[in-house]
Amino acid sequence: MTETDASHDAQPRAPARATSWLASACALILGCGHADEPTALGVGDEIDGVDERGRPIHLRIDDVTIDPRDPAGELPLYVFSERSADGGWRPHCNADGATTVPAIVVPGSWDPRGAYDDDPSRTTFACTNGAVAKCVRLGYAPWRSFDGASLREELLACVRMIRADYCGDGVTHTREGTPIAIWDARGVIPRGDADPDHERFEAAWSADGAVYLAAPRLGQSIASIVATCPTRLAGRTSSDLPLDEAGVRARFPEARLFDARVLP
Amino acid sequence: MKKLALTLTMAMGLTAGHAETGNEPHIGIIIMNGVIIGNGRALAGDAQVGDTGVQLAGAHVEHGRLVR
Repeated sequence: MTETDASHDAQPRAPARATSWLASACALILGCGHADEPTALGVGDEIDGVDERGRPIHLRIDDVTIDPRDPAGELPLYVFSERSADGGWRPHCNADGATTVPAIVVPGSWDPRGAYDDDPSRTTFACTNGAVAKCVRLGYAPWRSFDGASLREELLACVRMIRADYCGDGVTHTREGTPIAIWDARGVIPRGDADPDHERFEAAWSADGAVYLAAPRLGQSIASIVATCPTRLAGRTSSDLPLDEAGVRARFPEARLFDARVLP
Repeated sequence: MKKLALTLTMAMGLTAGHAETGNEPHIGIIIMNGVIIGNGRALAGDAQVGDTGVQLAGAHVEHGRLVR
């Protein structure tokens, strides 16, 4: 199954559009729309909310486009402005306003330790310069499925992986702009042609952090990483249990994602 | 040869499975696969990379769309 197929699992495109067109025509011509049908918000709409610290937040949608990289052609990218204390508007995702950074809206929330709460009353406005949006754009939208199963766990593992949050405590162990190659156990992103001269297996991941650490991303010592979370990683590193990727898959079936350092 | 491969990856979009990661504020830098990577500060609710845990009034998310 391809990634496009996976996207189609969740929302068939053509039928959805046809339904939308018919519903619109019905409402306009015959007045037969359903009052309780959800209405998509668009440019100019404003949203009130309360952030995780209890502060009021007021957003305005400045633009909505479909992510050109989404194989299903469905993923909206929103450009938000946020009302500032002086009553003006400032870009929500980039404080300097020099570039337009869109966002993806994801149900649920992440706490400072990186734990996900799927409470649907909470929403994450994930700017595309952040780990959450990046993982959605890689194909792990939590509302989609692949081979009939949700991609939620892949999203959560991906966020841990992007941030090199080995311990699953919210602490990152990477730096900006560090390239990695990624793939997953289910084949949503299959392992491409490995380049042994330029890639080195780094780790296997679950929603809780690394399940196996082969080689830290920035060349840190394994001991230094394990020292920060011995209960999680002791006995699960190449130092005390040398395994290749196949061995990791067999030994740790909870592994969802895998990555490799891309060497210079 | 590697540069060629990365360029091809960029042209192919995200599905080729390459990514960049980071842990610091990162604004306006587009990297090899066209994705801007932040530091996961979205997890802490930093506005530069997103807010998490927002309770909306009169709106919610369905399949990545804001609706009410």
